[in-house]
Amino acid sequence: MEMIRTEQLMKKYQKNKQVGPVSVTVEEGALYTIIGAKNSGKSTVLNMLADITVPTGGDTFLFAEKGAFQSVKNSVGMLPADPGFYEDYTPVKQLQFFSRISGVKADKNRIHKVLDAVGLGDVKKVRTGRLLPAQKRRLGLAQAIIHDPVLILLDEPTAGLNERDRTDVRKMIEQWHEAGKTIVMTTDDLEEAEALSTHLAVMHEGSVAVEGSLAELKQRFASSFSVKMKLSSEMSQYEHRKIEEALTLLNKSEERDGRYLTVHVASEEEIPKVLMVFLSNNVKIYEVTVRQDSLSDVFEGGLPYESTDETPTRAT
Amino acid sequence: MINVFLRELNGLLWQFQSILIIGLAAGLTYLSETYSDLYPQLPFNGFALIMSVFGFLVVLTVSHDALNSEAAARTFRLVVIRIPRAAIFGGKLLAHAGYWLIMLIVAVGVTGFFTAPGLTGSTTMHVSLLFFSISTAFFLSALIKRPLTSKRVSVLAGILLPAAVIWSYAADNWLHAVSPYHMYIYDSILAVIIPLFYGAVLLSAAYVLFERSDL
Repeated sequence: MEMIRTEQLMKKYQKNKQVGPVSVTVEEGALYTIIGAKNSGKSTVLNMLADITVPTGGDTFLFAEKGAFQSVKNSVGMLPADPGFYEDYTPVKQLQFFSRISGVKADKNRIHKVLDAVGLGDVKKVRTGRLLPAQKRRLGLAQAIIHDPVLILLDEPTAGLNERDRTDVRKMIEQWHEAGKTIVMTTDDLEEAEALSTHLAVMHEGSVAVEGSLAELKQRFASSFSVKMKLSSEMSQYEHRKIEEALTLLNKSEERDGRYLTVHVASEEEIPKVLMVFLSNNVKIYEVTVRQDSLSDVFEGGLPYESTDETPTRAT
Repeated sequence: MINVFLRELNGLLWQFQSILIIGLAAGLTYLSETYSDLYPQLPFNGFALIMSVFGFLVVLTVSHDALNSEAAARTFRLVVIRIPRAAIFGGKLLAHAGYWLIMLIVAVGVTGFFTAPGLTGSTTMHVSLLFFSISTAFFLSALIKRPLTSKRVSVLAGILLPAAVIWSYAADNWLHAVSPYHMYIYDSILAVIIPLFYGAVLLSAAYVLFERSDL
């Protein structure tokens, strides 16, 4: 089932700044990540879906109904970027209020269960104004799921958190996804996006530059492999030079780190050819690790903004 | 809507300003009635005078941030993802209207206890002026994003409008005749239509602005 579809969704700001037009589709059960640098427009897209930002053009279809957000709000949960809480409320009261206005009467057990799940079990009765920023982020996640929505929108859920909190939040997102929720999130961390997502959309200067399932994007951009070898410590300069020459002939790049040498190849078929170069030169190999490059490896110099039809350039 | 209404009303009622407003209304009405002989040129005095000169200012000062404070604090973000904007606007409006009605009733009661003759002007007139004042506050709150700016503009507007009407009455030009204070000046119950009309226009504009604003 189609959970979200946007058609030419757009927000025009003053001074010629614009986000969109954005046309994307999110299927049921997907963990769809919108990734992009700061001010690329990813939060604006999410906010337009959630009625926080009013679009200046285009259409939104939620649960296959055009502009149906008002009627489906109870099925959607959202963590906006830097949300404001009622500082005089405790987390328990906060969740009571938000579940009430969602039209769901969450009992105390449910509220306590959700607060425990997001790691706020110890501060249930502390005023929200006294919570730490990371605890507020956790409370934001709690309010997003208190009414058990089927679609969850998360705007930079791990931004500004320390490593422990980031790991916790990622685990929560994975659990919700495994429980069948459809999740749309934004992030500027490609590694995080790749680890969690089933689908990715890369935004640049207000537009979607690249979109597709993680498998499609990997096939398109990250079909290369890294072959990491542990070589003899007694290799002579002559042997080194011969290897370099042979790899240059094969048009392969290499990285050296002490005894380790990594060679990048474009396809699986090229791995034996590379190994043959070493063996035919009588170079002893003590260890070989072959790894398919991740999107993070491929785009470490920048996301693929230029064109949806261009593959990123990288010597292999 | 009911939850937004209850939270807002609760927040308004349990503030020290509530007691201050009632005390101020009763005290100033008493003073106005006691010293009314000193200002025979004024067309009216007592509670109607206090409502005219201070009512608009006080309502604007308290309700100027009805919409923009939560937008600035980003608390609206967690509300608008759950309920329609119309429900938020309606809840806020009902809460402020309810609060000022309670203030009016208590102020009239307290004033009547101390100085019964001071209760000049009809309740309909006071309510219609309240409606106009609340609508103006909502309009400014929807128009101006920053609460501090809306507070400054509200104080300015709250002083300038009554001052302009007083000047207009003294100068005998047409401005006071089309002002929301016409009903008090000419003791005309029919003229309640003027503040009601202005109020309806401003409230509609406030709603349109709120519907179109990013939260």
